[in-house]
Amino acid sequence: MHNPNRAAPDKDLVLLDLLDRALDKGVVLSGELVISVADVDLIYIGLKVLLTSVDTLQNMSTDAPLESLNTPPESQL
Amino acid sequence: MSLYLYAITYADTPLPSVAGIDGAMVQQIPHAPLAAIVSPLTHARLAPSPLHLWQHEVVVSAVLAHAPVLPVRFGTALTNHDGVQATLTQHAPQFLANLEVVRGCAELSLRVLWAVPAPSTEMPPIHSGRDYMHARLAQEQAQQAWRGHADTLIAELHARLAPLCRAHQHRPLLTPRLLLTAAYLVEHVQMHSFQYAVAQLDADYPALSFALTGPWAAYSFVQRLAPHPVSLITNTERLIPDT
Repeated sequence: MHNPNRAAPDKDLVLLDLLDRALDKGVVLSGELVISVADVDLIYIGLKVLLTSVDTLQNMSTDAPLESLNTPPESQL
Repeated sequence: MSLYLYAITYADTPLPSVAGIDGAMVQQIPHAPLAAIVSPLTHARLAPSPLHLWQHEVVVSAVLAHAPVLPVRFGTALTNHDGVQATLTQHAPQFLANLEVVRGCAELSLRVLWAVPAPSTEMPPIHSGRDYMHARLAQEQAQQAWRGHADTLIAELHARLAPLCRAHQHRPLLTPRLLLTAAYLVEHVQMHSFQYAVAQLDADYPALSFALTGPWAAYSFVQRLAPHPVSLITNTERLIPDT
């Protein structure tokens, strides 16, 4: 389960990894794309912010239980 | 009404009992031996918000818990039921081959930070062409030594992790501080061993910081099948701040 004591940057890190995967990887089909091109710029800006925050993380730790890492932050669901 | 597409899996995979994008009911469209996991999409456009991304991920993860799964890139929809079945038919050989590649596996993401600063690119005072050439040469050598140091460290880390994964992708030095950004395809039965190995690396390399996330569906190890509909993040370097 989500551990409320986890530091905020770790949530950013998990979100960054999700963005990095779900937006850029996976099966790409010639279907209908339902995210608008205007949103793409927002994704770029958001990712840039996240990457910067990861780059400056002083203490990325693997101590936390890994099971908790992929649990979406409760505030977002 | 279009159908939002989350994942491709086998037709005998149990339907995940989770809600989809905007709370929509998740359905399975079988076309043996494959099936698509979809939900009705009420909006013509979908904002790529963290909430929607997590709603996508929750469905993909729920399928991953039971069966091999090919995660579909976020934001893909097909016109209707027939369109989904046509897609399954059209790409069946690739889907089936790819499902075998990821069978029994999930993906782990690893980022490794180091504290060795990149060599300065500032030029000392230049008084002659000779000064300039010397300075350029010194800079080039420092840069090569720095990259060489990074390569050596990455090779050391990889020697410890390679036996525990089926495949890997390395992106070295996406930023000067980010020594390594990597994805590993790891068998479920090796998952704890891999996580333990990273914890051991964390202990053995106190100058490095390790961040491991996952298990994710094998996003980095599936075939794309079509060109990117729009240029999203095909070149991660573009995202790196200049500073």
